[in-house]
Amino acid sequence: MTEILGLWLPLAVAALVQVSFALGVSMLTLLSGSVLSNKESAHRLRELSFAYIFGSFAATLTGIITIMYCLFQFPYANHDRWWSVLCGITVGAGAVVIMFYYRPGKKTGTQLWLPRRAAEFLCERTKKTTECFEAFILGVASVVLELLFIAAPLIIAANLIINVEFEWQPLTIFSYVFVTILPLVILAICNRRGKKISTFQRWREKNKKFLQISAGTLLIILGLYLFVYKVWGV
Amino acid sequence: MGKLKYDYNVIVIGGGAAGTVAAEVVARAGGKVALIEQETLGGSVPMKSDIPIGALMTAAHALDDAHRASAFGLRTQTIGCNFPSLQNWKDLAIKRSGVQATADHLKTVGVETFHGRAHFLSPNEISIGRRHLTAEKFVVATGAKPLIPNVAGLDEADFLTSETAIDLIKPPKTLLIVGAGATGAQLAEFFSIFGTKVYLVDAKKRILPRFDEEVSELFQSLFEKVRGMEVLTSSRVIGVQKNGISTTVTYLNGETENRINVEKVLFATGLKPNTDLGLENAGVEYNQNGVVVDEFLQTSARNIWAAGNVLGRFGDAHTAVYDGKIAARNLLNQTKTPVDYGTMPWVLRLNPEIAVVGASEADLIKNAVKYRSIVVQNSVIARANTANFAVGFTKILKSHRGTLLGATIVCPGAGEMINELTLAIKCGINVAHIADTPHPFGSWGEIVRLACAKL
Amino acid sequence: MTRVMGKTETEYSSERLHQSIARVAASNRTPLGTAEHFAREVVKKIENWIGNKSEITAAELRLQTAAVLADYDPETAYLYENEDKLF
Repeated sequence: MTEILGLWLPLAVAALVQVSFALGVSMLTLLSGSVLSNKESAHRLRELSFAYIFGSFAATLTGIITIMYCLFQFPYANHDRWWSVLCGITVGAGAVVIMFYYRPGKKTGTQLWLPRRAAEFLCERTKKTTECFEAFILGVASVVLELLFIAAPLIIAANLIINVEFEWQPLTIFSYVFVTILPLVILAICNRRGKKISTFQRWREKNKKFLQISAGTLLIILGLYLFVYKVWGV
Repeated sequence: MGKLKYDYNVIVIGGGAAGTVAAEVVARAGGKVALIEQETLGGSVPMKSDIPIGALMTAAHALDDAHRASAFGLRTQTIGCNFPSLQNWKDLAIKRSGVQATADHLKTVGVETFHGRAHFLSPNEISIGRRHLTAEKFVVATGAKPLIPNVAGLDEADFLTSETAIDLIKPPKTLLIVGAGATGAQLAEFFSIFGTKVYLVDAKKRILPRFDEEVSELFQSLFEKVRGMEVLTSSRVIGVQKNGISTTVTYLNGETENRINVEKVLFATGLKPNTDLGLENAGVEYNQNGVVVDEFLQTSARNIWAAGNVLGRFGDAHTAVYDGKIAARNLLNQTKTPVDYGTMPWVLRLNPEIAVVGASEADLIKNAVKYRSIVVQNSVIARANTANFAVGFTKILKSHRGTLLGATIVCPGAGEMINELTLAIKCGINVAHIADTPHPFGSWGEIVRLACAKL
Repeated sequence: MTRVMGKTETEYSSERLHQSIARVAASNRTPLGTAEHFAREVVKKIENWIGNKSEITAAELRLQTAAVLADYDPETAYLYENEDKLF
């Protein structure tokens, strides 16, 4: 029971939060649309989607392992003060997500916090992607660009996983990373099955407020929960 | 107004009733103002609606009165009309309205005028042709144009609108008018007086739907029995087809499909606000009913106001003038004035005239306001007897406290009589005071006093 | 000639508009023939709308095109309008 409350539950919440961030999905949507508009084959779409998803997977995996390695070197990884700082950052990140993640306004689609020039560059770059290697780099970029928001859940996840028994750690890491790229996988499967991009995009736009608020709220709750559990020891 | 980082303090787009007034108000307050007009300064009021239609209706009513004058022993059987001369009269009325002098007047008060089509490029910039102008604030007063419904066959068939119908040089033998609102009813009466067989079609259950039911009933009866029109309510036109020199119109009445062959078809199905000027680029919210404004006539773009028919309210020229003044005052001042259409009278020049002010009975019922009403027929007053014209009535609506809430006058000269009641509503005057005020015996105004007294 | 003001100023081109509509329709899995037909019809209506306007912005051209396209293919119209609002 202690393990569930102290480890698996917050880990699951951290994964859920990371899942609801949108940049990766948006880029894959645009990439898919671009491939289809260039009248490429379904096989090519599959290849590029896989390369992109693999890039996201690799970046997230590298990120979490790197953080874990740093934490292993860090003597205070399970110290109260460190958890306090981490919880504070998480609560702050939650507030930032609620306030800034999506651009405000009525007709903004799923426009994110990204500076417009950067978004335009990314958009153009995504549309021009024709090779698997480029798609892989895009996948990596989608994770790197969102580090500002995914850093908190990622560090929390890493901090939790270092306390898992060593033989279970690889499985835990892979499971966590797989959950975070699940939306990409679902999108790729939907594309493969001939679903229209607009259907998926409409759903995202319709539910963006819900996703934004739930991600932000979950982050805040996660931060407070871990503070109470780890720092106060309740 | 402050130091300029733009070309102008205010640019007014649209040189009609609302736009010219707004430009003048701002110019007199010391602002640097430009006014852009695509067609003729003055707008639709002097060129296409109130003035020309008013002039034509005057002529039509004169002919109508002449025909009735045989009852007085006058020999009027041979009175006729030279229809092309009617166009000369209409053109004279337009010329005399002073529209030509508008540009000079605006120049005198310091308004710079531009001729061309304005198009927003951003909240502070417009283009006119290839020329770009910037301003701190804008007033959009681009008016409206006749709305043509989506009816099958219109691409190939010829049809008239309220703007083109008044330019005809001879009245058609048969005419089908789609839309029995104010404009449709006026044109129907006009052409029927000059011998046209008129079919008046409307999808609604009654004609003149904006007025109270008594007005609709009276005029439907007049149109059918006196004017010889065929009034087809609850009927929707679904297709037109050119058939040589005539046009076949197909309409649905309930489940039944009917066809009529007429010489001309006229669409008087309302107005469509002119909102195609890049309003999205300026961040101005609008829809098919017009530009969306708050009670201060400010749009969703904080530096842009709108006035007149572009708002989709479709009032008379005085409503547009009122809007223009309010919009100009609000953009100049920190303290803002909300619009109040509660005391805006509305006059329709039929025979007899219709004038309304204040709330209608339907409005009061909808808003669950307690009221009392009375309808008094014109036949009770002496003037109806001496003028041999008993058609019409006056309807008064008063609150439980006795203040006037609304009024409808159907009477010759109703447009003049309504001013008294407009003032009464504006000043919260009790109906009993109107009843106590002497009105000259033998005048049409007596009906107002009588109606107030009976209430 | 109508100028289209966007990131750069260009002359309006019906061919370019046609291609952009067809491209978005194809990205939304609209069959090729249907996409071409829609694009042709929409371009005709847009040219009526442009009329004698000397300058328009790229944003309003996109909005107007999406509004007209919505009568033919609402899903593609949605994607066309929001293509630059994915992120």
